[in-house]
Amino acid sequence: MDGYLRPKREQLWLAVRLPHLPLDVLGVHGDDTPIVVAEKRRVEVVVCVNDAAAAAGVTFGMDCTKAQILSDCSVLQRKQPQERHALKDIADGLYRFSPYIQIHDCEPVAQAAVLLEVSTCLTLFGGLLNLIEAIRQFLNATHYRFALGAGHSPQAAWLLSWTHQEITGHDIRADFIEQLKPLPLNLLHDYPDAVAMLEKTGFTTLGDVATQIEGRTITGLKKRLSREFIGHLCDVFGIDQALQQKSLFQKPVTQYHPQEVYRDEIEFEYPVATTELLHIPIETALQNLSDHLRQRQLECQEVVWIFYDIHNRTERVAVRCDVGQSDWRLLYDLTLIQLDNRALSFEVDRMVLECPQTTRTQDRRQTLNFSGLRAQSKHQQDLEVALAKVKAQLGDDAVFKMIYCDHHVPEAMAEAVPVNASCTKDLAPELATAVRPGWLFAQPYKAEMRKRGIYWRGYFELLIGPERIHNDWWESPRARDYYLAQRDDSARFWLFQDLRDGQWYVHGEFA
Amino acid sequence: MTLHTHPTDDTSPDLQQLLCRRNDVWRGMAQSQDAKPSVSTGHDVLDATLLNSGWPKHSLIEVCQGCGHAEWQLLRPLLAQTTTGHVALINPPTRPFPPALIQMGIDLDRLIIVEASQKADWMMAVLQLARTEAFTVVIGWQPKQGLSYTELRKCQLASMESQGLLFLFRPDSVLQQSSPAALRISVGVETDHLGVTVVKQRGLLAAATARVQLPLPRVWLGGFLYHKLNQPVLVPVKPKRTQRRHLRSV
Repeated sequence: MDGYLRPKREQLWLAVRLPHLPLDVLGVHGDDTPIVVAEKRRVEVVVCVNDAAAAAGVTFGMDCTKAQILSDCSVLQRKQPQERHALKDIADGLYRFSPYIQIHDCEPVAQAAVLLEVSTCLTLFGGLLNLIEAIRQFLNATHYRFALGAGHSPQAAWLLSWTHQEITGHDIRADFIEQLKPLPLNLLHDYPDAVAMLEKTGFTTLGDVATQIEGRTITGLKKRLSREFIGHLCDVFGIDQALQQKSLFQKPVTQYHPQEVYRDEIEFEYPVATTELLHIPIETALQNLSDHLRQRQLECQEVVWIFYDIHNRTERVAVRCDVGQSDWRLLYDLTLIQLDNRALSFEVDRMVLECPQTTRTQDRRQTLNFSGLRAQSKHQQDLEVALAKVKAQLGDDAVFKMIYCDHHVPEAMAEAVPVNASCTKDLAPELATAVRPGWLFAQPYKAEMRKRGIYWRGYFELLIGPERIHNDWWESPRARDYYLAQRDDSARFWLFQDLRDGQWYVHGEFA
Repeated sequence: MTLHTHPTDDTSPDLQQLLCRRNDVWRGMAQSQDAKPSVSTGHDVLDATLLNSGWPKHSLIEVCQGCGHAEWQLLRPLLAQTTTGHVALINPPTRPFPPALIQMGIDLDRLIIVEASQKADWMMAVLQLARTEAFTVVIGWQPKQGLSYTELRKCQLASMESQGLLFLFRPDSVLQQSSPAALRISVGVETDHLGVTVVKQRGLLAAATARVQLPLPRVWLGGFLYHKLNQPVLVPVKPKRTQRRHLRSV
């Protein structure tokens, strides 16, 4: 405990910047050979260099070809999903130090940081310096290279992480602002256009901007620069935009919620050869999951079963349902349907149940039951259970409903959507009395023009028509004359003649 | 050995009474027509022909049709009046056209389509959805592989457990095969009407088939074709009446 009392309600942010994240996620740690990470922006450019490549003169934003000529470096492609995953892992790990965590991704320079608000955690860790030491120890155990910065706002901490800031543990807001002033404007990477304009007008450091704000007003800058950039500057310096003075209130900090992945493992005394013997352990595992979800007021839409044999070979079975569940029964039925449709390729020695994503039960809209809606909700539940079982067997695409889309061309008037989607019940006014068939073929069938007349599995007699339908001029041209026609066997069909080539087609049937 | 029997209890029903209590026992010529729950077809003339004046619930209804399709004309009134529950279409011949269904008054929100071309999948879907209370009408089209008597029997048993209606559309060619369906009808589109023949109704003798005609929509009967406006109209010429002059005899 350092004995220094920080002013109450003053936030204190730590930035953990990861300057070599693109290289670290690809497993590149050694600096012996020049290695760069490239990304396709307008052209293929370098976004991250290791020390060997930097020593050879390769810089950020350099063309890849030039970098290779300069340093004969190896070029690796950037993997952004892995970077995001790594950031999330680090944030989950830093959750032990503070519950207020944000992730900042600076895309223009391909760097990211995890920002922690630690003002409420200092007592627990015995001061800022002890806290920083604990964070360093945690980060050193990972293989990610990092730089730390501290500030009175997340933006300030991010900027100060680019400097060799000496964190004393006693700094307050005024001290951080003084430390920000000498920093060059080009550190504001997210706003290159605004920085270029400021540099043209003679501003070079953040201190120049601070002097402008303190001496005069921010109004002049507001007229020339974007509102977003002005808001960012105000956040950096802790200024209230409207009052143009030190902000009286701190921005609220949202709490970070690390993702909890439920995992349950069952090991068998002997390898299980048939899926029937798995029914009881599956039921037990799902009941445990159901208890876990209910206790936390959560529900899930997907569970994953991972089966292992004695040689650690795995087989995964994913079970999904449309609506979140906290009860085990539907997931059990769906799991059995999946297992009935597949034979295990080995004898199961160990079985793992994972629930990768959960949602809060309160997030789902609940219908207030004032007037006997309980029967409807039971029907709805029955419907969901039945459709889930059918989809588990046939696939999600096999169950759908049709909706009406307002369009001229018949094939564009119908669309297949998931069962949960809502559909309009109103027709365009001109269609209220139009002649339309009950069935529309997926593709129109070509009819022949014979001596006796139009022929497609029988000769047609035109009864009603024509109705001319053509699409809009900016789409691919289509113009058709539609008729209701009767075939030899009295069946009624919807025919059209394509006005571009004169060909006849059968498009639908009146049933 | 003397067999001692207890005197019969007057309150225990005898065999005749037990049989009369059930409405699914065939008793030869002595048919009784107990009232079964049913839903009006929406066609008065068809209601008058059917036992219980409508589509029977808890029963498999088999509809055989030839080359022409008549599903929507036959079931339009039923589907338009279905305001609760859902309607399932299992393996329809093609996708329904939403503007036509909206014109018929059918609620697209309640219409769910299941595409199951394989017989095993089709059977699973029909049996599962027929037993679900949420579906008030389940309509299935026979898969290409056809259905055996056993499979039809399973559908019939599923319909007995359901609270709604179960329709099965099959081709005309199966009319000669036996079927456990409680109601079998044959439907055919004619020039100016929809012909419905009731082939079998559980509770009626086999010879008692009935045929009714349902009207078709006015537009199906045809109108004036606009493209014929340019063609010369042939007006029949009345033969001139030759006037005979009767010569007076001088």
